Amino acid sequence: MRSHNVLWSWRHVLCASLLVLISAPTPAGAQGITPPTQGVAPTGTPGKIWTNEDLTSAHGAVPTTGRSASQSSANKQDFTSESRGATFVNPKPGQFVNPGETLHIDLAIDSGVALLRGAAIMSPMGMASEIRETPPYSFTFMIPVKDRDVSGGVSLIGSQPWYALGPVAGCGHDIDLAATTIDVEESDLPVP
Amino acid sequence: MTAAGATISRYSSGLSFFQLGDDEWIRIYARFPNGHELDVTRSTCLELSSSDANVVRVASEGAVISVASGNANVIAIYTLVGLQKRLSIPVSVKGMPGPLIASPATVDFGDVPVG
Repeated sequence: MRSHNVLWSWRHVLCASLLVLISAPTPAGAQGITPPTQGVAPTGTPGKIWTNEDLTSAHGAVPTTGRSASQSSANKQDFTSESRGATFVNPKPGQFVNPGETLHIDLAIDSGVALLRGAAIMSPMGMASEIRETPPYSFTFMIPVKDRDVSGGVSLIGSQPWYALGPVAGCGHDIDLAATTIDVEESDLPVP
Repeated sequence: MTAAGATISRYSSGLSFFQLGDDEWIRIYARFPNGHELDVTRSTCLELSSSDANVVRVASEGAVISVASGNANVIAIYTLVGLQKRLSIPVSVKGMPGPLIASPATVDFGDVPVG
């Protein structure tokens, strides 16, 4: 819940910034014009550190330290997507992505949705440098490799949302187009 | 892997609670073969568990809650394609129950002449 609130406020700040970028006055006559082919895009400070003295590496199952009342909490999540005029074609919800990987992002704009000044994408990890004003709505983004490169006090590893934003004819200042969530994970086990 | 907490006694080797019902957020850090050192507390590969839920419980994203006096371990298991790394964090709970709550909160003696 705490993370969600941080992300929510973070998102509003960035949305406001992006709104300034892509909601500048539309050239006369451009309002309501549907782009010719709005289809599917192509192709806290730690106080104590424990060392690894208790660390073991095991193949297969690791028994839970055994008293009768063990209890666990795994970070299993439901990765979902949301569409409000557009859809993330790539990445898929819950897709594994490695830190440092270049992520290709494809956005499909729903038929009948008229983007006024194109679309952009952003996440707590940053935003793609491109603003696509015409199809294909494809972006590239390099996943950071450090926690400090992520906004909102959220760690890099784990679920990370992506948002597609862009002003739409008839929707006022609501620039939310789509959202999805990916899973940033390393491809190897930690080292001792 | 290593673990860190915000309000840990520097004289103890693990988490210490001195009151029941307290919570503490711990973070699990990991160093990977590619040199990346990252907070993996939110990783979907990580599972935190308590060796004794009667003493301490774990919740999502690294929250640890004291339940009753005793000793237990919080165990972090990182699993990737069937291989696992494990970290055990000792927890000591020497708890007193939380503040006493008066019940009823007020007492009405009615109209009593004074003086």
